[in-house]
Amino acid sequence: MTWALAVRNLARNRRRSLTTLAAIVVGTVAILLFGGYTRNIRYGLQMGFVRSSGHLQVQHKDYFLYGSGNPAAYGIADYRHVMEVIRADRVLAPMLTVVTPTLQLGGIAGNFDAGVSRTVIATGTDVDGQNELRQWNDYGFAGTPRPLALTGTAANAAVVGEGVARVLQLCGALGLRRCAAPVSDTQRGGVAPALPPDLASLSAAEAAAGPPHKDTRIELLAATARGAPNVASLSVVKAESQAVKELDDVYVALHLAQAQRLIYGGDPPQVTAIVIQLHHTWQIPAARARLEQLLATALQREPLEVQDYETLNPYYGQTIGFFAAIFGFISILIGVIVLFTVGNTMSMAVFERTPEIGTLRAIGLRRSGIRKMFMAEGMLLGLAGSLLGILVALLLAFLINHGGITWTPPGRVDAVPLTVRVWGEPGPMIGVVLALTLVTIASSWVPARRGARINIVAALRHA
Amino acid sequence: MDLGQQPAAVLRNVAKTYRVESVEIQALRGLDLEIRSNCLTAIAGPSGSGKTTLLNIVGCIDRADQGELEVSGTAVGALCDDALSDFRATHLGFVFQSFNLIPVLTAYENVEYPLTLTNVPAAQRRTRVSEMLEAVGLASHAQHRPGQLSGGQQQRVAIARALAAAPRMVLADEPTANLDSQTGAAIIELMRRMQQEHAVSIVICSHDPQVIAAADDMVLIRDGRIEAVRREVRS
Repeated sequence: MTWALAVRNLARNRRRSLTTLAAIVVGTVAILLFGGYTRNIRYGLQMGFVRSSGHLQVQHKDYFLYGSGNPAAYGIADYRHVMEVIRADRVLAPMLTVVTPTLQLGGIAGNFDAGVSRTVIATGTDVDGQNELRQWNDYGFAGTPRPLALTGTAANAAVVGEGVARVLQLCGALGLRRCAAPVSDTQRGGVAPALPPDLASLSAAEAAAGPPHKDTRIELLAATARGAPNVASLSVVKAESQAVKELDDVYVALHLAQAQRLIYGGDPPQVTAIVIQLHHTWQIPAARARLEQLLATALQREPLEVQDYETLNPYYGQTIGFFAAIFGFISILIGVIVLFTVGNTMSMAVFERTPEIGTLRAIGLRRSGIRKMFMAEGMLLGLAGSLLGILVALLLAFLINHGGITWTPPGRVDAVPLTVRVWGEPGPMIGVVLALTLVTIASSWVPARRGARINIVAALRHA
Repeated sequence: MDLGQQPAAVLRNVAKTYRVESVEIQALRGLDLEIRSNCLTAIAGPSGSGKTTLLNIVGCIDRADQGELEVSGTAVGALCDDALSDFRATHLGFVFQSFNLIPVLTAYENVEYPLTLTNVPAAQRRTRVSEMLEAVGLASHAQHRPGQLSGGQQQRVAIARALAAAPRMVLADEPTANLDSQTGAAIIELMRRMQQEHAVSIVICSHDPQVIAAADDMVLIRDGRIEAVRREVRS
């Protein structure tokens, strides 16, 4: 009878119930849409990082903290063996999609024909491995990933950030827009810095060894593992924007073999990281635990450690934290609005139905029965409002996702469709229903308690 | 114990004082009264004499400041609020001046409600509710809501509700005050008949001469004191 009474009492004051319901629906929609938008950003960022640097990386111990740009001291010497052991491990194998090496180095890239140079961070990659990394799409994003720009290029090919191309005055040769050459010291009558004679001879030897690419040729100068300077003559095939200017201004990608030859020369080649990509992000703890086990046993010859993508990319955690804070703030705000709206509605209901409360108490209903009756009404409002809100949110999400709206998310250069992930995400939907229902029950509690404590005689007189 | 011989209620030195702002109003001043079982008792008196307060205390919806009260042999003064609620549900029925039916429930559901409080099984509830509505002549109006019934019909439903759980005593506060004299007379007649058929004590608080005339016993109250008690000798 409690539920029948609750339903009928809600229907009795239809306009007020509908207004309250509308507040809960709007709250649910706001939470689900913003939550879906935040979730899409999180998945998108995660996908970007996992496609470029994998879920986990095996690195030389302390490389992450102290070894960046120092492949000589922090290289993995026996990296092929390490990769074989990882690929062959019966625990890890079912979780793996890609295991590929990279070599990161610091150096100076120069277009000495133009008399310009700048410091860069270069990454030597295995093109096939990198292209496999780019296939990861665990969250079902639309579109096909573009292959690495180095795909199918010559051994001395390189891809640079647009910032690097701009400084090295390659814009014209690479067909870059919005990249006019600056008024340089040379053009103002200054003198370009000359390449030292020993490096110039190294550069000439390198250039003679490879195919001529006069317009886009650059020299990459780096210190070898033995501490001597070495130069690689590279042919820039493309300039790609890297979204973050600081990265765009230093980014150079080249073939792994080329990078290894630059650093290790004739010595056995090494890498600075073994990139490991898993089928699913949730497999990270298990995969990490197994990797650490292997590093302590079968691979204990070298001091290695495992880093996950969140550690390797602090920007990810910061962005997620930022959106989580906004989402939390919005959720709390909506919770408070619903709390007061339902509380006000139930207070009005208690006031208007005071004689009824007196009657029910007189004929034997306990105080707890009165409390239950009003709290059931609050709970029904919360349930109905949040369920209705889910339907509206699904409809709006469909319209937004198919509305052709695009935006450029943080950390990306290209515009992507604005997507809110509501459909297929039961967790947030259940969470919203539970949370808002609890909020409505809580907000009904105070008026319900007040109603239950009304003196029977006073309530009967309250006609 | 022969419940038929046990008084429906016994009041000893019962007093009640209300405080309205800073003014104290002595509604009852040390009342001693025995309400006989299986009788229709009328409590009469002018407005403000304390008759409704007396009815509320006997009906266990208000507590006396002093004195003792036994209802159906139970010292109700010692009961906690939940126990008192359960006691009302099983032992007492109420009929109000404004009928006080639950507007969102049908006549059937209003009569059924007290039975749900005492956990009467559904099948038994159906039989009992049908009997009660039949007895008050409203079987055909079972699915009507109070708003679809006349005042007299609503009061009939209220009487059926008061008697549904087979209480020992029914308390009625001015049951005819909101009805025209003809309908009021019909209600009094119905209450009289039901009192006899169901062997229940009915205490009616009223200054309606029809009620006083129909009553077995009459308690006249003035300024919170019993001025006179008239008891009819039972045959």
